[in-house]
Amino acid sequence: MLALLSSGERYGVELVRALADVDGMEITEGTLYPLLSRLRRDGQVTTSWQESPSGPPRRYYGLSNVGRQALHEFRDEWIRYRDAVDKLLGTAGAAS
Amino acid sequence: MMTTHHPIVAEYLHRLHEETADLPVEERAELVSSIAEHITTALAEITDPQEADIQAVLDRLGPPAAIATEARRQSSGAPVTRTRPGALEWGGVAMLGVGSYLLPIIGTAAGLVMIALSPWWTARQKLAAAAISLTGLVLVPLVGMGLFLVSSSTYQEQSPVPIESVFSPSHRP
Repeated sequence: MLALLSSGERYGVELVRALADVDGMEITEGTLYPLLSRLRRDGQVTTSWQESPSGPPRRYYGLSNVGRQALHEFRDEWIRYRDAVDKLLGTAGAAS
Repeated sequence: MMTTHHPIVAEYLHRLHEETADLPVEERAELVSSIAEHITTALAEITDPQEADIQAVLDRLGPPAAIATEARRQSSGAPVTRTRPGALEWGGVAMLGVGSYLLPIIGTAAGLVMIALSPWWTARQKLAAAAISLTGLVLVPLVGMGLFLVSSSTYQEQSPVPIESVFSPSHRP
């Protein structure tokens, strides 16, 4: 979620579609709104209303500095974890 | 534009509203409004949406119950009600009950920690559980010690009988 927002603000429908379409993730679009809501309460995500060229104004979600920091930490942690698993399985550098 | 007024959308939002009755008021309102907004925005991208298009948008959102479950998981407040107790609840009660006898201090402490971690009970109920079991933990040895003291003092009352009187001829039948 935070990674998708790191490239810029997105509105709800666009954001949850992109996430629900990620291969290997069995999620429905609706279940992403509670997560967005929690990230907003935690101050990691900001929201703003913007006019839309077609139809009603849309709520846009963006990354706050706290969210950027959390994403950065998660990336570092993930790389360490991935490298450790690659080392154990002997899959370092292997293509899927 | 008035897509949220379509009967199947209204029914969907109504079910979501019902399913999230135990969420904190603000979170519930935010969730229902963002889902309603999602439906409006998604349908605004389709020219002249038909009922099948509306149904497709709702299907992609998933069942209201699934959204409600996820909302409870992400919620800041503890849920008001839970369907039934799990391992943590039964384990905590068992530890307090049986564990306190088998491993007096460790068992009680483990039970209290499990109960404290569970969202099943209110803070007041947890405090009551701690107070009762800790009182028991202190009281049982105290009562035991008291009984010991009482019994040993009654024993001491008997012992000052002069030894010689036991052997004296007057005590023999």
